[in-house]
Amino acid sequence: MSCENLKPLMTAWIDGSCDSQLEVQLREHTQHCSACAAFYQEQQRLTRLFQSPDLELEPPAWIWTRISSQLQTTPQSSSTGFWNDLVALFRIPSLRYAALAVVCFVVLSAGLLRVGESDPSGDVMLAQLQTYQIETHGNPFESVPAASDADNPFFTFDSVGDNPFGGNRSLR
Amino acid sequence: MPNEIAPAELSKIVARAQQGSEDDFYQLYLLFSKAIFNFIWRLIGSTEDAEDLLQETFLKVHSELKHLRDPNQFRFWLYRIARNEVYQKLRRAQRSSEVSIDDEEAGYYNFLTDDTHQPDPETLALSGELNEVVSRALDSLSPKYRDVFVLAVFQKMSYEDITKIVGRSMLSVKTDIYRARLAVKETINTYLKKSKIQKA
Repeated sequence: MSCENLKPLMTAWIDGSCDSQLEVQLREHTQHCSACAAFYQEQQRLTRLFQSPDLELEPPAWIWTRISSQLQTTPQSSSTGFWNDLVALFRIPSLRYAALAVVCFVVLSAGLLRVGESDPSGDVMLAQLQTYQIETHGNPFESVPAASDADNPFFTFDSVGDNPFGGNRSLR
Repeated sequence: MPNEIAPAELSKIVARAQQGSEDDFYQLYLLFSKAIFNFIWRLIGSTEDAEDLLQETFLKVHSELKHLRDPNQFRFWLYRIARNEVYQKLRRAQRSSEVSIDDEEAGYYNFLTDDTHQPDPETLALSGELNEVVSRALDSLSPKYRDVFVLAVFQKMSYEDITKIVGRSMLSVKTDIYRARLAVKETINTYLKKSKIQKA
């Protein structure tokens, strides 16, 4: 491998992101290649410079005070509660679509079942209709007036002689 | 590693904070606030903005912590939130200055108003010339190089961890850090030459 290709690996070595086998190879290479050795030392100096503790700042203490007071005014919305958990669950798109599909399936199934089965409300309507008829027109089974001979089409004979069946009443 | 705590212990603290423990959330703040503050500061270049963005970051962490599925991923998740806050701030500044954030040639401070080019008095007082050199070196980097450089060199993160934060491949991260290192070295050399000429 050429020196130019080794240099990116060398910076990974300096940053502690290189496996031990490659590290051995790079170490051996820098012992024989002065240009790569110089690059390695230069980058190490750069790293030490940037990792100086003088270049770090402590965050001011008042930041936590501000965060804390903000949290008191707006409590963690999602910390507790079944509904919050449920809402959070449906933030996942696949679950959201699955839930929509289930709802559609249930609604369609319920609709089909209603069409298929006998309507229990039909019996109620029939009973109501019968009651209405009885109240307005009388019971067709009970309120037939007692049959009089005059009204009976089979017993309207004036004389026996008229009766073809040999009764004492005749047909008109 | 900025936060010397066992991963198992950190996971327990995160899990308790997810259950609503304010004490454990405060523990998380104590563990990570300094690292995140310095990370933001090095990205945005202004301590004042870094203070505001640190606050915004932890408020967002508090409100979204319940949705973090794996407590072991907390550190990467936290850095991603902080990075997003910085990018949002830079985009807002970009809109006002009409400079493209994707411009590879543009330095970070180009997105900010002119007064942010000047190092803060607090920063200068901290370590004088060294800080100015570092600020100028970071200023020369585009956002793409700057965040991986800051994570690798200032935050001492492994390249594998950096891929989880910036969402780029290992090869991309490795190459970008290498290029950033070359650019920083070039800027420092130029600065030092100018300083020598001015002093002479």
